[in-house]
Amino acid sequence: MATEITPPPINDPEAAEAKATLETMLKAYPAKTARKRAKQLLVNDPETPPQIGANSRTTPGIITQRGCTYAGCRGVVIGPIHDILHITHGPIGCGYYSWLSRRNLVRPRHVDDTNYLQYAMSTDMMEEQIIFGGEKKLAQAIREAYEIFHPKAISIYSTCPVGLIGDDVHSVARDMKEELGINVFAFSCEGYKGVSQSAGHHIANNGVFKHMIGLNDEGDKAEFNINLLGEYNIGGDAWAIDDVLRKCGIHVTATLSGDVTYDQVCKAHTVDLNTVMCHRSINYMAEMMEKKFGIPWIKVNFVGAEATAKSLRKIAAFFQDKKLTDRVEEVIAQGNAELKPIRDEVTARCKGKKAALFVGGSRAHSYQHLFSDIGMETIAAGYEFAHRDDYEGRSVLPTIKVDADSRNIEEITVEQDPVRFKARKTPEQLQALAEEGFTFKDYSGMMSEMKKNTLIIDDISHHEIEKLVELRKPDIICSGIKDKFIIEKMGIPCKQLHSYDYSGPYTAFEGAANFYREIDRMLHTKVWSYVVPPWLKTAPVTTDATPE
Amino acid sequence: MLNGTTAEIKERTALRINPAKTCQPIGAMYASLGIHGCMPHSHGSQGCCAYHRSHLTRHFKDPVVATSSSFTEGASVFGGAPNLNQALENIFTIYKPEIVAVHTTCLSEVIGDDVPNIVKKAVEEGKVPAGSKVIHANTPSFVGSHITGFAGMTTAMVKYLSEKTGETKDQVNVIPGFVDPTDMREMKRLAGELNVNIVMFPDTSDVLDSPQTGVYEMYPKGGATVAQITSAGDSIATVAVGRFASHPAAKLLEEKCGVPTTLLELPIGITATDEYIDALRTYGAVDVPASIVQERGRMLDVVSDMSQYFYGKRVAVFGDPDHVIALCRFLVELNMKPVYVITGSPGNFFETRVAEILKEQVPDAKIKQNADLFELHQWIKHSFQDLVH
Repeated sequence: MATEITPPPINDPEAAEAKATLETMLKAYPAKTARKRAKQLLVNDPETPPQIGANSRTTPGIITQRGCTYAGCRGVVIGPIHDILHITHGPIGCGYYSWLSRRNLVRPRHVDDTNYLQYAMSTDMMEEQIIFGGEKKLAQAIREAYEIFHPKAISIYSTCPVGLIGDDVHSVARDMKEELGINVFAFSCEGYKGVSQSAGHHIANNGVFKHMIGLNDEGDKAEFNINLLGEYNIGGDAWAIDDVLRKCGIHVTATLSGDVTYDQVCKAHTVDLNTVMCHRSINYMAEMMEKKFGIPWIKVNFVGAEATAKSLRKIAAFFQDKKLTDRVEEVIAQGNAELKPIRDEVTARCKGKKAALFVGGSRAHSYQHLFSDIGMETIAAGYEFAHRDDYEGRSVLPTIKVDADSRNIEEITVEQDPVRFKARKTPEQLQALAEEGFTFKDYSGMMSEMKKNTLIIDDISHHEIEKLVELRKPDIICSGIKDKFIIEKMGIPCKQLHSYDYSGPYTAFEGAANFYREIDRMLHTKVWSYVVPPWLKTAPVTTDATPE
Repeated sequence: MLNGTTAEIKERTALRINPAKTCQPIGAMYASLGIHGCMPHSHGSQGCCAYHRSHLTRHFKDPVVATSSSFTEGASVFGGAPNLNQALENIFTIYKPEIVAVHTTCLSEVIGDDVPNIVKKAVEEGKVPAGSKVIHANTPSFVGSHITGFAGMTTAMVKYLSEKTGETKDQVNVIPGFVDPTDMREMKRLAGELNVNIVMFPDTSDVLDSPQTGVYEMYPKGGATVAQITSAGDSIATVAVGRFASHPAAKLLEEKCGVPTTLLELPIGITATDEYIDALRTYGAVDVPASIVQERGRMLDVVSDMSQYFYGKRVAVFGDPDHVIALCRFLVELNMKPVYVITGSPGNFFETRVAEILKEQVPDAKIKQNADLFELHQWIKHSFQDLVH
């Protein structure tokens, strides 16, 4: 069942081969599925990125990597806040599976502080609550949690049944906030909302903005004061970025949300610049903070040595301070110098090898920088739950149609804060920046930075992974736990980019070295070479050939 | 670590902290993987399937594939029939399993999807190839625990597949319980040593512990075949191992096909393993071979060599109910003292049975079903206080 992918190019054998690969993938599908997937399997053109059918509903039965809105909200964005309680309102599963299953690491600030991430809390809804309602149980659960832990705040997460049975979690939160005198808020992040984790990010951003940002106007005293948004401290990533920024003299008030405290989130609006790592999960926050408080934002990427240098320079350029600019150059020079030996060593062994990345809403792009650092080529990539702007760039935002599945995700109206809105730059300063070519809230997407005729596959299915390995034979694939052992059964190493295979950090110069070593290890692990036993490699032994 | 856990215990009626159980669907998924050539299908939000696959694959470090109906908000309002229908078409066209085992989730249960009806329609529309099967189990996450889901899917295997032809076959059914592939392989191996033919279902050995051959097989060679599960209706008897996980399926097999049941506890430890061997050798009308007697002897030798380190030691035990019951038996055999014993799954039988096992050795044991790990840790922290004061 051949389906046209893109208009056939003339005299471009690479493009023809790419197109043929994608068409082979589509052949196995029933017609309706093939038609839909054809919009999500593209041959790349960085100059004019083709339109991709991203953030559309998942095809039932296709074997997707995607998860749900609850995971995006509780698991990804709010979960890492380690000094508030997280209570899941629903049957036990959701709370159980999100219990320490993500490596957003934490360092409690004082020796007596408790890291609440160690505790999975749930209302463990049973049939009685499904039939008669669970609001009373939720209120009681919140009370019991407060009695034991006395936290600063409590966050509540709705699961699939909650929306169906009509429990009003927000009303319970308001009541308990009044009763207990602490901040209590809820997220309507039922799993069936939207089409993936992405809807959960959006719902989470709305909630953080409504219930936490702006509660404490007393900011940190720092000359160069920023937030790091969309950085979750997987394997210590945020700490590595923090270290390099601190060396430059740049202060991070809040990281949203890796190793962040409740107090830090409450004062995040007091900075002068927001830097955005994961565009997909946090762009909403950046936009809302700009509208309300006047904080401008820029896209950064601390994954990769070149990328880290670029991001540091950009932050320095924003502050228009020579002292800072010079200091940043010193730090970059030092970072690169320390990195050079390992980078050269690994490049020599890995150069020319091919990688494919299918993960998340940001990492499939940012990690390509680490591969290019060591001379490796990305032949195919795609996101799990990203939108068109993450692929094609923010310039396409006005053309994106919100479909039926995402229409119910709330877009909150934000207005300028009458007292606290403050433009961080004067018109003259903005003019000077513009003349230097400085751009704000710019993200040109993954496709503009990938080579022509590479394969772009959105929400890759199991079948497509198998075909990709068969037809294009990447040397390594970056993905998640659900694909890892499948790919490795094929004799190819698979690097988990959600969990880092329990290593990391991979950000900044320190993390780049870790990643280079990891890829070197994975590509050169001997075990793959032992798969075919010797007796299957040589001719069968005959009765004449008895060993001496 | 866990410094937020207080020694002072406050009663909780609503809040679960650090659960010692999870929900039904993953149990059903695990059981489904014990059928050869089976694609487990999660009829619900795609989050469920993602979480269950992730949890299982992390534990076994082996591929775990399953499909999802990927409900959206629309399906939650209008019903998931189109999703399941489309899923079946895609699964059979692309992934070609021999059988699809559908389990439900809280979402599809609350909206009341009639899975058999939806499947019937899909069959009528030609979405299910001739000769392929679709079975289902209702596994709402707000009832019981993951063990209930395992029991439910295993029962569904009997309901849909097992048949009685009237010709008794020289074989014994073994329903192994919610145990690891290596446990299943070991139970089969012992049967082999005894020269007793068994049909084990579900059987995840050679499914979730498959070798590295450089070739990925979506349907590994292991698992009970549909034919084997069908033939279970003609077996001499069923040995159901583990009341919580295995008894329901055995009961149905008895009702449906007249196959008598012997209910055993997990063969962990000396006497429980003796019971397993004894049951098989009785049904098989065979003698216990010297090889097994020697294995048993080697095990007793380890116990006697190490007995000084076990004697009188206080133990806290938590886990799935069948496992905990069997473990308590073993710990008592070793002269150890299980003082705190919990399971996360609900079921009063657990407390009764464990109390019976411990009544001589540890009459004051604290035993609780439907409990959680926070409470267990509090018991332990509290007891340190007793020792100190």
